[in-house]
Amino acid sequence: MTAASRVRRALCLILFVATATLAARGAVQDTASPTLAGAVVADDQTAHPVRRALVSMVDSASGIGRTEMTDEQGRFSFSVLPRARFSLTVTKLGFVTTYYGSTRAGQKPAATIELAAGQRNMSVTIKMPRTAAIAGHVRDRRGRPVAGALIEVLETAGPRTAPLLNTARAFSGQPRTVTDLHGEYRFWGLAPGTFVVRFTLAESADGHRVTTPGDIEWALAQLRLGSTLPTAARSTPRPAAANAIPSGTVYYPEALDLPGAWPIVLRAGETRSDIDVVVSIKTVVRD
Amino acid sequence: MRRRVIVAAAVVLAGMSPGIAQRVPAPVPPGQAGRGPNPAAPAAAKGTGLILGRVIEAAAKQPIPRAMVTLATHRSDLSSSERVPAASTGAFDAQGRIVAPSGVAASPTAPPPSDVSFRATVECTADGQFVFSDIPAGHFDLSARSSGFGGPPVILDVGTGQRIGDASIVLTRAVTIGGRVLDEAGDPIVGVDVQVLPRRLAVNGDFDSRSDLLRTDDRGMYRLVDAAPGDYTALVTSSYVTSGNQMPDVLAVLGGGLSTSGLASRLSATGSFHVGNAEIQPWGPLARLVPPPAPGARLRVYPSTFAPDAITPSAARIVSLPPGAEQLDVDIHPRLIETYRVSGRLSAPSGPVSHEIVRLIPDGGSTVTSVSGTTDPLGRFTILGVFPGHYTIAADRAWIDHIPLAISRPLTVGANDVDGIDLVLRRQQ
Repeated sequence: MTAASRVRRALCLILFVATATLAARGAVQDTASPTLAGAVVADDQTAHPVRRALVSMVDSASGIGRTEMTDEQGRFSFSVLPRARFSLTVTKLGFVTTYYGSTRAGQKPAATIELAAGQRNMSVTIKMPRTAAIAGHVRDRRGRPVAGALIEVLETAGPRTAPLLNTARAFSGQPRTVTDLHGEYRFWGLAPGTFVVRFTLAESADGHRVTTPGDIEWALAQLRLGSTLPTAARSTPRPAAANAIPSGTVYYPEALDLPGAWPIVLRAGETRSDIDVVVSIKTVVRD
Repeated sequence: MRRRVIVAAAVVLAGMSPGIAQRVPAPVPPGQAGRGPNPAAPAAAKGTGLILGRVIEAAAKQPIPRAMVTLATHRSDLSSSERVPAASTGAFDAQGRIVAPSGVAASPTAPPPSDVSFRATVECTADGQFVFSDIPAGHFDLSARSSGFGGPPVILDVGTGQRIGDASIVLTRAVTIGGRVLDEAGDPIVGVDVQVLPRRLAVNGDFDSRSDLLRTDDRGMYRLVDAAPGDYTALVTSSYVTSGNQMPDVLAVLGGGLSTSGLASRLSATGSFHVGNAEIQPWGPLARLVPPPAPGARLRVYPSTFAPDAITPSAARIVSLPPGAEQLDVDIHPRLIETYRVSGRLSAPSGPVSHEIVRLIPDGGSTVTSVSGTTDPLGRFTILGVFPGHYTIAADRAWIDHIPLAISRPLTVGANDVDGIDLVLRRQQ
């Protein structure tokens, strides 16, 4: 168990109730305060309420934030100051982090919301796009799955241009993933956009020796000499090693560098599950 | 012979200098890719032993082509980072039985770790044959890996200059287990950790021995591949806290379901968030709920849940997977249940003890995790989210005037809050 998982487990289900600082909150719930009420729904035909999303309100003047969790109907509410100016951001795994009022999904900045003088209540509906995913297989040229290949998803400015933006904005799940023992991966949590996918065989080092029929013949000949023999008695040296070395990096579909990568355009909630690559295994003969 | 000596020298050099790494003595098999090479690996020892062998599938006795075979100095103290993922949950032991995922199958007769280690990985021929040469005398693990197969390592001794012509490694077709974690509304629970447990561990209550947690993806799906055939269940560890009664229905969601990266940036400076009138601080030793639910209000909590919706191992769904089987419908449906409150006061002979953690440790065999609370300046503590059951309530490691003090005693929680517990720290013997 990793330290991180220990921490997660330790946090599980537990509420440590510390000092009895029960005061103060009543005052904030002043009935004179204007109320911002809202609902978070999925940005698709279902308009399904997004439950247990975190809605953060940041006051534009002070920079002070408060975070609420949506209820079973996706609703939330804040007490705000009269004439407050603030922005709203919503996060939920499986949905694109939404900056309310932003012109593009998953991107800052959120619009500033302002309460008019004397305005008592305000109501907003925040639509959250679902995240997209890229999935597939990594195999070698013999069709065998390659486990442990590192997958990075990089956002590009558009289908025809290749300058990379950083990946940080693109995902709300994991920054990278690796193939499992079947060579499969699923990179999820992507905002809609255009991406290239990079596969890296991290440990390539110098690979492994490929056993050849010549090796077997040599070994059989050695065994015919007896079950134990000192070094000096060995008749023939073993054939030269043929080492298979997984190559470093491949961009989907089979490019060795970025300009050859094919951009993948993802809409909200879309999964592309056919992003497969074949990594080349270079064979080097050594003597 | 002169040439051979030069090669040996080159190996040592390559091991020390990545810049001329024409030959690194310890290739890493693909199953450990991404974990990076072990920079601390010593240069391979060299000898004159030889092993010729074959990798065979257990049922049909047919060779498995192109498997990766590793010969490595036997170590009983393999660190988790050296273990292949598949071997850490439902691994195959040397007798072919499923063993505890923590790798408790280590041979009790293993020699102490040696400074001189040998490790080499080769790819078999199409006939499943492999050769290792230049092996020093020693005690070795011979293991093979091929996608969709698994099996125990063969432990063998190689004498000085010994030649072994009939080593065989038998692999069994591995199994795949997976499913989805869905909440009471049928929504996927994303990013929560699932353990796939061999039945024996589940029945024994041995939940902590696993080393792999399978994180659910955006579909709420988890999957374990290349596990040993056998009987399994799946467990999701409790991670959600909610309330009932006067509170909004959902009071808090802790741990899984929240992205730690996304969450950290979204929370206020103190890292807390609000649901209705409650402030929730989900992280760190001061994790808390302010204010606590009113007396009589009930926190509703997702307990640790076995597939499909069982809170005890005896009610868990067990799936029996013969070699080669794939079962991807082992879904888990955590259900909210009511919990209770335990509160009281902690003191020492000198007076109230503040800022000390009071723990409720469940008795053995329970899926309930420990819960705790921290005392206030008057020594008062309140622990929320307590399931009915048998516990030890404890406070310890309190160093007051450099004297270790502690208290622990049994506590049974029924279907009621337990208030007014008076704990007095005592000097330890």
